[in-house]
Amino acid sequence: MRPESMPAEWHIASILVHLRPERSDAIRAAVSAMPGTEIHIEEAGKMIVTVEAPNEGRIADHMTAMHLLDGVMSAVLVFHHVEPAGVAAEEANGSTDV
Amino acid sequence: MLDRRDFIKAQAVAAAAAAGGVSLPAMAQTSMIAGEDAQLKWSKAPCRFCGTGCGVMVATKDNRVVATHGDMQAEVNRGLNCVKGYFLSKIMYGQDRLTQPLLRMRDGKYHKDGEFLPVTWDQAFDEMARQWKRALKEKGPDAVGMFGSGQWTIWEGYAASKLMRAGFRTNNLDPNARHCMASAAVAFIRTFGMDEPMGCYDDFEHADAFVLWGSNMAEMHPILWTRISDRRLAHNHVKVAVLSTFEHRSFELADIPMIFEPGTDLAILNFIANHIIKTGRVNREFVEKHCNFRLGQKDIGYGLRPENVLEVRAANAKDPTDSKPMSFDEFAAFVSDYTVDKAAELSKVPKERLLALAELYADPKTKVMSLWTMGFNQHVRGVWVNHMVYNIHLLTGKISEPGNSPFSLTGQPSACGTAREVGTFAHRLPADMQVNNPVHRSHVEEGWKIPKGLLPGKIGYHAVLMDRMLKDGKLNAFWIMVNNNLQAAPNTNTETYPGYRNPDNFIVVSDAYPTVTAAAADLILPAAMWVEKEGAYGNAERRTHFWHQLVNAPGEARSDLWQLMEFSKRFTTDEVWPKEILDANPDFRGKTLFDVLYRNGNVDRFPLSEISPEYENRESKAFGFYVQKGLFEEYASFGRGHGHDLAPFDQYHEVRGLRWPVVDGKETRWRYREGLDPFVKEGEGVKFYGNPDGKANVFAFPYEPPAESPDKDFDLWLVTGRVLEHWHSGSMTMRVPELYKAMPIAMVFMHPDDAKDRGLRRGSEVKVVSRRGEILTRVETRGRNRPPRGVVFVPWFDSARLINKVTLDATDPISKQTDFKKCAVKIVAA
Amino acid sequence: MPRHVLIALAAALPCLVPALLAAQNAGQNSGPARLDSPFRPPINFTDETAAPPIPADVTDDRRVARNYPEQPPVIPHNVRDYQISLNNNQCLTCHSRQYTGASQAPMISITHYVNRDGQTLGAVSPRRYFCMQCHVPQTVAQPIVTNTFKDVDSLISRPSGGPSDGGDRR
Repeated sequence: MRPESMPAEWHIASILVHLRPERSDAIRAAVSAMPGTEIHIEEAGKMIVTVEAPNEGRIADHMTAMHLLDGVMSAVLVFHHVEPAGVAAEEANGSTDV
Repeated sequence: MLDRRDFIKAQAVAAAAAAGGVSLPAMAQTSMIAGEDAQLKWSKAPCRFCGTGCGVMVATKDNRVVATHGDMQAEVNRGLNCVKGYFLSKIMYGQDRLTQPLLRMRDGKYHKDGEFLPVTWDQAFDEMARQWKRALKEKGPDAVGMFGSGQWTIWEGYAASKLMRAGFRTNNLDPNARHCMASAAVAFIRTFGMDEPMGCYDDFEHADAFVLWGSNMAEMHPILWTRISDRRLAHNHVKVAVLSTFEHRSFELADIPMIFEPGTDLAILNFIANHIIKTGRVNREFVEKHCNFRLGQKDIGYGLRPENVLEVRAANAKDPTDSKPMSFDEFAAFVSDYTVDKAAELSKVPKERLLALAELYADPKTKVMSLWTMGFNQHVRGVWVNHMVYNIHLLTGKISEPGNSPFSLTGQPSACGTAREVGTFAHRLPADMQVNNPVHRSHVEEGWKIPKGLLPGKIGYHAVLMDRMLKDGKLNAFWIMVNNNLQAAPNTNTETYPGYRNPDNFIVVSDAYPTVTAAAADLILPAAMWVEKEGAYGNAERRTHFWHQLVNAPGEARSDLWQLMEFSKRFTTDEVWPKEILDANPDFRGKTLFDVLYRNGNVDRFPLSEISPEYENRESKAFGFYVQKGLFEEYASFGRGHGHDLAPFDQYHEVRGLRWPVVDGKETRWRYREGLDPFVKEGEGVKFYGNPDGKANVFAFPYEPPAESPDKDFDLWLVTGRVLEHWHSGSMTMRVPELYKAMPIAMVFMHPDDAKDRGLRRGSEVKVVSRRGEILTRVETRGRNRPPRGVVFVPWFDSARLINKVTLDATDPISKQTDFKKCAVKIVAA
Repeated sequence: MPRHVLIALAAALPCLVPALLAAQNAGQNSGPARLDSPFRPPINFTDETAAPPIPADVTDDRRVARNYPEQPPVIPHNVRDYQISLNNNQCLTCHSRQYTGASQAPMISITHYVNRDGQTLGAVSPRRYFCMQCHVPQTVAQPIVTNTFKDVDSLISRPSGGPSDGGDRR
């Protein structure tokens, strides 16, 4: 639950992960288990993951966790975007933001 | 349902991939530059809007229109559009597009006061057929009617004409073009024996002078205005004269600007004729060889209901079309009354301006192009005033040659191509034939392969009369297609709305969007729009142009063509044809109207294999043959060889339109002149071959005042009209955000001193009130239209400000076209 | 790794935030619209709709992204009483090529220098003279009916194969 005084936000970030290929299965499982993450591409020791969260602290936490996984050599933030929640974060349901 | 979130996510992924040197799968790439994914399919089409008939190129992707631009190869506009044309991509995507038939229901069945509920097409046609059969049984063919459109495609109008005349045996078929072009069309036929201009847009590049008679081309025919601007700004000797009852954007280019008193255009034109004669500039040879003179009927009333005092008082309201021959000298004597002093006094235009204007016509060296639309046509003496402009071109011989061109401009994309050429008027058949001519009827019966004597000879109800008959309960089953008549017709409080809500009547509206007309109907049928169907239009310069179906219509929406043809299956000849005809033609017994009208060996002649494999064609697939081609070729057979020649169907899909008559593959740019028109033989020089004697008719008419002028209670002239950003009733353009935001409400344009005298200022909320109704709007005193004192202007695009509640249903008694430009109102604070 | 180090790392990296369109949500698509839905202009004949006050013009000078490349851009500045006539074209005093250095206004595109036959001229083609036949200003009025037009970008970049937004600007 967010504090009522703060306006709701939607954060999304993409993270470039370098990893040792022989650990990729375990890493994949661990990353998928983190809430708000999605693995998009895997290729020869690299993984591209997006993380969606209501604040940047959460994103930083996930990044730390990924970095600490056995076999991960680095997890680097590449893209970060934030906007008011409801505009994009919700499934299309008729926000008449005219 | 995916949206913005996934879009941004994709960008996030792409950025990371780029940073990491990771390759993205093809689908995830964002399109910064055009890859294969960005390939668009481009196809040609005419613009959906006005009678200029610009060509556009339309880009589609995934069954949606994603972009349009002006077609560089289209002769009309060579790559330009106006702002409306530039937003064609958006007109089909208003969120409230109609996608299902909607029928007023209560307790599970149709009820006049029920709520609109979605039904299937079958249920819709079931109820509709039931109502039609009821009306036909109780009152006969006079009780059914159809109000069609100059926005119908050519084959839609043709299919409707067959259904009404040969199917239901009524001529109660009139188009909304009655409100815009009837005066012009009638005057063409009375003068030349044939409809439509003898010149073409090429005249723009040849004329030395342009005279705009009450038309605001800068906003209403902007692309043609660019051709005038091009000519005027590049050649200093060219002169532009603009006449109107108020100052508007076309005055920005005017060398001879003229604001005249409403209705006095008649006097100005007679003065010009007088000037030409008195200063000895009549082209005597031309007049002797090519002109007859006739004295027209005067005091002909105002087309109001017969019991109206103005009609009772008029001497000749019963036979307004009468005329008798006169000599040139008698004509000269007739117009000699109209001296420059009299014209100046009546019109309030200064004498020097009148003389300058007259000189443009009188000087034999000046090639002059006259241009008019609604100022002339929506006029209680619209036919007269059309005649008068032909008079001055005929007296000087300035006609049918490059640059010398009396040019009647059209408002709708196919008022010419469909309403007039196909003949969807209450008195017309294809190719300028008339319903009350037995020889013409017989010819059409042969062409349609229907029994002799089947077609009705009685002229049907015209637009204004249809509304009156609905109100009076004499017309009971009524189908409105592609128009918004409850917004467009005059005096709608009194004469239109009551008829639609009369419980004896069943009103059907086919449209793409919910309009005020649809909301007042009983059954709403969702229609496919523009490039959602294969279509053809004919523009103001006789150019017929085609387009393919490029995308599918949403939901259950179907084209008007499909609706007409499908509906015809619900009737058999036994149900709607008279016993005598069936007895004499027993082979026709027991056939559906669909069989007789559309499976007659002509319309179903072309197989599906002839459809271009690159394009969809839903109607043809539904019926099993190439319907558009079959209808077109049957229709074209009436005009070929008679000066209405159309090219073969397939050719039009290849080219950017052709101007008829098209003979041996060659289009005709100027008609009636040897060397330019294939129907004028060598040695004939000029021949107006529409008339039996090959001559054109010059008519003498006087000035007569408008039906309702300002008085002490209603002290202002109301002029209605349009603005650049919105087309017609705005059902399409008001749903394009950029156009809506540019001009969101219809305001009343008035002179600042008139406002001040009434305690008003810019932005005041006011009522515009007439004897018939009122609307609420805001005052604009410094907009693009600057009326003189005593005149106000309100455009009619705004469904929240229905100015036609205020207007008067006075018409030209000959053409039956309403005068939307002159009635009396007062403006008061709300 | 301590959070503050991570954030420093993050800050050090170029954050590739692309220029995002302020695209609005294209709205619902939940079944056929009914006549009583609020998403349409006033349509009942007998309604007496009060006239809203004349909406103000948008004059913030911000360029509005076009729906497709061919669209003439809308005018984001005040044009009241701008004179375009036989003698004078006020728009060109800022937007014509030779004045754009001083005015910093966008130059009218090259298409405006091309005549009817496709030849490029040395000055603005007369057929393009009346700017406001194609370029219109905007007011702050909000459309009553949403338009669900989707631009081509939204149809091309669809990571999961469904339609995505890319429609109205503002």
